[in-house]
Amino acid sequence: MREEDRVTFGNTSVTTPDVPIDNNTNLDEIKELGKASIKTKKGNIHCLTVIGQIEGHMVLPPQNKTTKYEHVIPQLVAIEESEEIDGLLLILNTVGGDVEAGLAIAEMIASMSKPTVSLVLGGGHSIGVPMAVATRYCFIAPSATMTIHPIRLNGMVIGVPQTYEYFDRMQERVVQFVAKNSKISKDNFRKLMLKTGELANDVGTVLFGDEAVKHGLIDETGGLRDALKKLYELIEDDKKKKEGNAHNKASEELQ
Amino acid sequence: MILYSIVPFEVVFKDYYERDHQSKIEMDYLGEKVVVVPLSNNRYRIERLISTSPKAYLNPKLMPGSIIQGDELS
Repeated sequence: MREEDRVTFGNTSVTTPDVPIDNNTNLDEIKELGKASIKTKKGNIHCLTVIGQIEGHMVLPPQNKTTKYEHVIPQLVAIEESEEIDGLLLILNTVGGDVEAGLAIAEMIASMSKPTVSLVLGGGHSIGVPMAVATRYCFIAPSATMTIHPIRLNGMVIGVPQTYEYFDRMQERVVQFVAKNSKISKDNFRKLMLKTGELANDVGTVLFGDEAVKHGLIDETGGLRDALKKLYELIEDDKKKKEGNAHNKASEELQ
Repeated sequence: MILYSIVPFEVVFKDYYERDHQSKIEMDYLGEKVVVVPLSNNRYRIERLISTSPKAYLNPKLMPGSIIQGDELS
């Protein structure tokens, strides 16, 4: 590198910290490219509501209210890819549904790079539990409940030990996902799942809002205000991190 | 399929075999392929969107359940 280049580059890297590269970038873009992607100060969020049954491989009869996974999954792709959307708010009021579909949605949300916050209202039961914990931060309304119970057998059941083994493994998928994405331990979650004397005709546990927080399943009790505040905070943190990274990278290249 | 829900299997799948299977038609709407169910008065209800464009799934007009006029379809 020539001596005079080093001097000029050295100067810019000293003066740039904390100052955005160009305050008029947005304005210039509109003028030059006709692109109107002006963002609000706080950022744009997308709200995804999951209600009723999670509909999976089978179309459910019309008396069920359903959330169709084949529609939600590409939506999540679009949200992740869209330049206009900065964060995702997931609102849950679900009675459960297809294991595969629910886990698919939960895995998609857990692997998103954009900030995600969930809010459980009313109920987030069964497969709704992994979906709630999949986001980066989760809230539950104090009056909301979450039912944790074992996966049930349906369809043709062959009375062999392997059947039990199979169901144990299916259940393990849910247990593992929840333990990985929340503060609850696998053992504690399994214990809640198999608890007796809580539900009228089943084993399992009903957790109220603050109980779910106490067990480490959910991060905090709260409502819409808290969820939105947290989401905007996460968006802000992400923006700062991105700017910091871009700055570090630029200064590394210059050295 | 394994149902993991607090609603019993029998309730969820009530009338599953008895219901009359509605005729579903595949058609083009707003440049995307949709599966629709015909309703009365030349109206259709979107059952499913078939597209490889993720953006199409965020379009409220293409959401399952939205009602469209027959003359908008091709």
